[in-house]
Amino acid sequence: MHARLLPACMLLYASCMHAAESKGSELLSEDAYLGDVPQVLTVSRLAQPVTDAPAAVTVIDRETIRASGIVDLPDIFRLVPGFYVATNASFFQTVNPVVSYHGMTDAYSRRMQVMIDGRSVYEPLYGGVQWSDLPLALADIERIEVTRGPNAASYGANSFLGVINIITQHSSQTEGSSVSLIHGNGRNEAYYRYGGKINDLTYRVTTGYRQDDGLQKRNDGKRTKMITVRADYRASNKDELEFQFGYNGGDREEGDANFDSVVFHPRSKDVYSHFQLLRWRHAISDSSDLTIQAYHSLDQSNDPIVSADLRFVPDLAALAPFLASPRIRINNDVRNERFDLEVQHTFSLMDKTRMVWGSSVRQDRTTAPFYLNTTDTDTFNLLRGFAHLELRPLKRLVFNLGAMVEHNDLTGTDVSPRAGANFTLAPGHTLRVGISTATRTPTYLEEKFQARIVIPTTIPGVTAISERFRDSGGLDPERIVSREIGYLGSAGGVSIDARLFHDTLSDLIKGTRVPRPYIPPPGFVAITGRPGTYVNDGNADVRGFEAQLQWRLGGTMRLIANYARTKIYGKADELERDFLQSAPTETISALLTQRFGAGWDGSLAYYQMSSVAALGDGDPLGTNRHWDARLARRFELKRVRGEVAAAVQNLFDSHYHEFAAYNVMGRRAYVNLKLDF
Amino acid sequence: MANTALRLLFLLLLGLPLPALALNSITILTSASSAPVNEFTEHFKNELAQNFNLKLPVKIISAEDAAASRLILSDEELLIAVGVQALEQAGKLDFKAPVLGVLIPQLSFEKILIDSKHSSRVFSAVLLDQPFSRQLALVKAALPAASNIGVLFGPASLPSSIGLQQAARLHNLGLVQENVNKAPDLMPKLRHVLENSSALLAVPDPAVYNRESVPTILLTSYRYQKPVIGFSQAYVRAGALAAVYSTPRQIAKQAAETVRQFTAKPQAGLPPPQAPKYFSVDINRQVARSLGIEIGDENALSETMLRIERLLP
Repeated sequence: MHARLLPACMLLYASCMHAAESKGSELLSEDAYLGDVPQVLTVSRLAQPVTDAPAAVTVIDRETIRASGIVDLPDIFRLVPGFYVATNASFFQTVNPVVSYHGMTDAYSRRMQVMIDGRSVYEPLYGGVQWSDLPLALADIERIEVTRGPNAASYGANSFLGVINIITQHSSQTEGSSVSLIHGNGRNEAYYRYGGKINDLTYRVTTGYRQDDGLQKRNDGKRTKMITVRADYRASNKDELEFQFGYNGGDREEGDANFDSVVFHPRSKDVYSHFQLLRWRHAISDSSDLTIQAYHSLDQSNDPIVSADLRFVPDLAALAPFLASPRIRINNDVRNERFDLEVQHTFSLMDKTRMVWGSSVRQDRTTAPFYLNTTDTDTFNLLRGFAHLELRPLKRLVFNLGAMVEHNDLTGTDVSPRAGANFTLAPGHTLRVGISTATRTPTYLEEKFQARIVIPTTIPGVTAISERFRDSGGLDPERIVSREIGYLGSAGGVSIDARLFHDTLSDLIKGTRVPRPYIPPPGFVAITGRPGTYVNDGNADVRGFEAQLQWRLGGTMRLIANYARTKIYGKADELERDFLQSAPTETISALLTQRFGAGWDGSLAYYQMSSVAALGDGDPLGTNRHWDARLARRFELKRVRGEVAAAVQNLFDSHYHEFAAYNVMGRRAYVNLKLDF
Repeated sequence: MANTALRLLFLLLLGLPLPALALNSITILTSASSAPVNEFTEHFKNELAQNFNLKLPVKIISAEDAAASRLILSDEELLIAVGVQALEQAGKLDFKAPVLGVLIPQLSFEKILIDSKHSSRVFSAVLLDQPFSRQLALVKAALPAASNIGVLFGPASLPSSIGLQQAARLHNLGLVQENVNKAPDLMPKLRHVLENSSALLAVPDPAVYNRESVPTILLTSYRYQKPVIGFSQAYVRAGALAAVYSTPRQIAKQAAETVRQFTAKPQAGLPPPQAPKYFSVDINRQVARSLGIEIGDENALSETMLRIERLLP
């Protein structure tokens, strides 16, 4: 043994001398056992378990998104009980799916809050979300947390009917390259993603191109380019920095000849948006951390409208000889810029208390010369404070108390409190009772629109005007008080989430016409009737029952089944037309996934929605039923892992309508190829 | 008696250094000053003075001092090397005194021993690595419903996987094992392990668990909603569900006991490298709650672990 060791020792002695000069050697130091490790799962990162949550929370995971075969993100919400989702190729300002909890929505879903990684993507102009403008690739989503019910204390303003919080994957989870291609039904998409690591920095870049012809017979084609960047940097054992950047832009077709062939005629708009986000997470101690988040986003659509030749418009025949010019030009550019800063402190005391509290300040700068009838930029400021306390006096009992105080330029100061209790009946069975409130700030459409079409004439002192909107402002925010009893149970492979709710909505804002007599502005001659305006009028009661069942059988089968029953009560003459029918009385959906072995897996989905009449441009529609199916094969070739999938939506080609009679849904088939290497 | 005589004869024939017949002094060689090293040194001296009444002179030298590289000790002295840097230094030096390393990871001890000029009879340690059986007892105590445990081995820790497999059999636990040979393998193998097991047991290996990979491992495990059993208190603070570990104070107690036994019978030499005898358990309650895991307090868990180990076949 000695003989062998001696030359080895000489060699090692030499290298040991070298090692002694460098600070450390390659030996595993005791620091690995006794030293510090970066604090990763800090309190704010740890999701509150659903059984402790004060509201009904549905979590959609990556597996569900993949198995559902959806191509458009909004379609995934059909698998959340109580949601109304409709593909809508509208003709004004949006060619966009509609997503709203319990319906009560027109084309602009302004009663829902939607966030991506803590950044609100709610649009202040018309309200709602431009889903196709989001710089977000489906493959980058980690999970989606949907709160069914108001949740102002956690998510801020306009978390009215519900909240959708989309969480993207941490960049450390997406290392390597990934390619995804989708083809089918007039739609082609290509995505490339690369994730890498440099010491304590992990990053990913995702780029994509989408070409979508939209629904047949509708003018809703899109061509968009997208790029997103996410970087996570571990500055120290206690500090983590997150940076995000996104850009989404391209052409958007809009307009319908049947609706308007003169001014807002079928045309193509140039729409783009980008955002930057920075977040600093600092672990103060084992049980407390501080998060500071700042983001900026810009949404712009360029729409220089040139009207049709007005001399040939039958309705304007009387004006034809006197037109100052045959065509009018309207600058319909819309620009919205948002600045937001938020500070949040999360801490936990022993096992019994957890508190999240903080404050945020936001400024929206909106320029919409046509809609607001000014080239000035309108500034909207919002200041918010929030606190949420979770108390556990007994192991089986959790109290949740929260409140948000908000002050904004439009509606002043409002407080939205929330209280609830969760009681564990037995291990795996929790009962939840709660009451939650929220307010909804009026959108620009409701509060500040002064849109008008002006046609100059050769007659001195006479200018023709078509006033579209004349908002008087001063609206109160809408209010909701939501009461619920929920049950969460799990046993074996089955889990159930059930809920009984009774919501009271008041001060509902509805569109109406300016009261008679209609007097156009001085110097103008009206060529159309009374412009639209908005008022607070009407209360409604929404009551119902919802349940979701999840069942995992063996390791290979998974079933998600949803049922919802909703009924809206109120005085029809007070409320907006169709308000009482704007939530489908009954919705059923189910997704069954089965792993077959040898890399094959398939899923089958069923969606059923009873008759509903959406608001605004929506039409009363009868019961819809359709089936979706998907078949996928995973494979591995050397270093490449891949999946080929074929998905068919509306398998049996039952022609049905969504949102309005002009949206005809036929059968759609897509092929998807995904490669990771 | 005859045994000892035979052993001495055998050693004489081999020409190996004879163990001392008495102990005159203790030298503590410390790695660069750090909280654990200082904590050990202080408690070790106290233990020696108070509990064992040893009136031996104790010298403390830091491995960073120039004097350390010229250290010569006779075979009537005992060297306690605190930390890897000190033990590495001791391994390179040429003297006859027996060396007891403390606060040493097993992987490092084995490497240093092979590289050193000392024989294993006079070069031993109180290691930091908890016995596999004890770690699995923690798994069973904290997660009684767990059936499969996932483990990632690297090139350095792979030889010890046999020991873990044996311990898992004794505890009636399934083992889902993946061997990570290069960095790009880590994520896919980690995912595979997480998909097929109830929890991840962290086994120290710098190729698998290092400053850059630990956040990814903890985040990914959390994403899969699988708890991680760490190998240090810091891991629990970082996001592991629980860990069984030994503090420098507990190691000091065991080291003092070893010294006492050695002084009573120096000719027997140092005992072979020992696993830590005294241990503590730490639990991350926030993680437990977030994963929906009901877990008792640390004391109850330690007691359950001892009970489990006692009942083993």
